[in-house]
Amino acid sequence: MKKKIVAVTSCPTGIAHTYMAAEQLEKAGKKQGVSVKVETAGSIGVENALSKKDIEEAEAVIVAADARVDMKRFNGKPLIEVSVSHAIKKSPDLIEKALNDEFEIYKYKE
Amino acid sequence: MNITDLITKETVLLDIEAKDKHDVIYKVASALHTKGVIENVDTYVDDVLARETQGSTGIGYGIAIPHAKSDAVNTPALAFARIKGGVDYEALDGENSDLLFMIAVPSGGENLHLKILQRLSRKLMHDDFRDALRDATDEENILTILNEMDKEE
Repeated sequence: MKKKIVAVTSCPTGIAHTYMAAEQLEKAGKKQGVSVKVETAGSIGVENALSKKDIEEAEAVIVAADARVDMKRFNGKPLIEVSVSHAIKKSPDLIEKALNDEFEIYKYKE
Repeated sequence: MNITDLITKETVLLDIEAKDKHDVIYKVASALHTKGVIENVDTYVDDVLARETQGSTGIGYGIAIPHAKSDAVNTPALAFARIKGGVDYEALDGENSDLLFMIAVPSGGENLHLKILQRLSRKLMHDDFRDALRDATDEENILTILNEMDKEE
């Protein structure tokens, strides 16, 4: 089965950076033959929301957000948190690290 | 709503000269003012600069996307500028910026334009789209490129 990664992108104004980061992650995923589903939390609201199943199936989670994101749902998943601009610049690198199991297991704290 | 409802020939500025970030923001805002989109250039420029202090909208790849929701804006609009030699826009990758989209959004009001800006943002991540904007020969050409983007998907 094709490997799967899920991601969330978000920025304070939610007009542009959110979508640029999403595009870069999807593009990098395509290149490396992995399915990347990106939830965008922009000023239009949340689009392409991640389902419980999406998160279960995912090998790794990338959170590229400069605004608050619901993190509880990712408890126990290999996860990395970066700034949205980091994802715009370094998506191929993030995907590679995700595939090489380089993320730490996320523990949610109240 | 189509992207050509937001941008017209009058707000496409090709190969302008600008000495710094403030200068280019002011020049492009003035074009929006001439078209009647912006009531007061100084107020709008202040709002754009306030947004820049939260983090530069020079996102790298030679692109800058200054934007503000502002009381000085009458209707949502978009302007494009190609800057001769580029300008130091405090970009995330430290390179000069030569392609700029300025987004003017009225305070409050509807958000129809956001969908278009969302598509534009995604499109800007592709080399071929940026190359087409850099190679365009005139204003009409830029509008055609943006129109084609709208027709995709």
